[in-house]
Amino acid sequence: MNWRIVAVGAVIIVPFVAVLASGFGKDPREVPSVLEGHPAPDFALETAEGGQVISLKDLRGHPVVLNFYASWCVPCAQEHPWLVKISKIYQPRGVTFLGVIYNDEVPKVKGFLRRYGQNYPTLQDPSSATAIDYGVAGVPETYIIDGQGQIVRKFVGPVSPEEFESTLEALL
Amino acid sequence: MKLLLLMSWCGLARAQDGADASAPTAAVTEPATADLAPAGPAPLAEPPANAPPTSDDEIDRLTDEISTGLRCPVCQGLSVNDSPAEGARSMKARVRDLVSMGYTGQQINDYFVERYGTWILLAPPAEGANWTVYLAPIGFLLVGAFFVAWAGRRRPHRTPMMWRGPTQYTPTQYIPTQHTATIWSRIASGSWRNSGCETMGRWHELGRLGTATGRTGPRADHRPCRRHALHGRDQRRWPVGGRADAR
Repeated sequence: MNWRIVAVGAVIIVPFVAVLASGFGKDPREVPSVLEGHPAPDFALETAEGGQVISLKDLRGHPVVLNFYASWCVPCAQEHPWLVKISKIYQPRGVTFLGVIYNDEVPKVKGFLRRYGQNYPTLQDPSSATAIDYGVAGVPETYIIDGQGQIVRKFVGPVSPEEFESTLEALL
Repeated sequence: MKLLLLMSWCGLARAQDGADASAPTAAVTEPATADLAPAGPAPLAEPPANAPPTSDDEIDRLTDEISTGLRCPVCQGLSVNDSPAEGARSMKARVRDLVSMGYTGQQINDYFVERYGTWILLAPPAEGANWTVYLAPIGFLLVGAFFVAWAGRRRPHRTPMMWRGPTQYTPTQYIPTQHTATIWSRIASGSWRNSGCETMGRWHELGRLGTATGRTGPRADHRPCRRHALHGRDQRRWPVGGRADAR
């Protein structure tokens, strides 16, 4: 065996395989979250029922849970009843829960809420400007914002109940 | 504005009529028409660097140009400009809004990078680990060029190896009978012994010199020097009329 060829081959192949291996370990669809630890972008959005505007600025001092969802999204339907249930526990303790419609129509969302329950306001985001401000790449995405308006946690996909509760407990 | 006022009024009326148990419990600000009005695109924290473009064509051109450099978050390998996905269309609309306000491509890219990271750019900035993407192809090209040069250099050595062995390389197979006498006379007279390595090679090629391994041929137990190694068609034509004979 020609050890020189083996050594040269190893020098070329090993870093290449290492790069590929590190890439294979990641989900190519996962969008990195860069907003954690940064101030949450402000918004003033009208509720799905209409006539009321909720602004993030007015909610300072209390943790906020912001859930982007859509009626056409299957994981949202799985997650929503749990969020409704958990909101009943945390809202009395001062946590504000808000839903934001992502690329969907209000009547369809109303049907979704009738089916899966409603315990907190849902906001309209007609041009998805707020979703883009929050770096939303798909739904569901859930943000936990502390009383100072900093994003402390972002959940891509359905929230993990344990992490969700432990994050909120740390804020209360 | 009239429509907005009407909408807000309707909303108020419904809120007052409703008073149902499922009313949202979050802190809700009372609607003010001034609050409802800016439902459109929000400007960025910093002011636009340019004056707003005047023509729609210019806005469209800049929008296409900027959104071509942004990655569609819900697709694989498609730009925001090329993707028909709803999310990408919203992003393109956002780019268009910002362009029409006078924001530059750099400001808009920065806005998206702040929210999605450099992941959102189809061409990652040349910094830190991203340099790998730019330098690796050059590195591979250099390694390839080195390998080609190296393999080319080795070729005269390697090709005769293919002809080694009694089954492939025998005097009867490659040396026409009518030339045998010539070869032997040249060897005997010493006229072929002008270079050590070659002469030894020739002896082996004739199959007259035994080797420890039982092999015959130029590389049986003697490695001809690079200068004299024959290969390819030269070797087939050897010894008469070939390269060695011409010398």
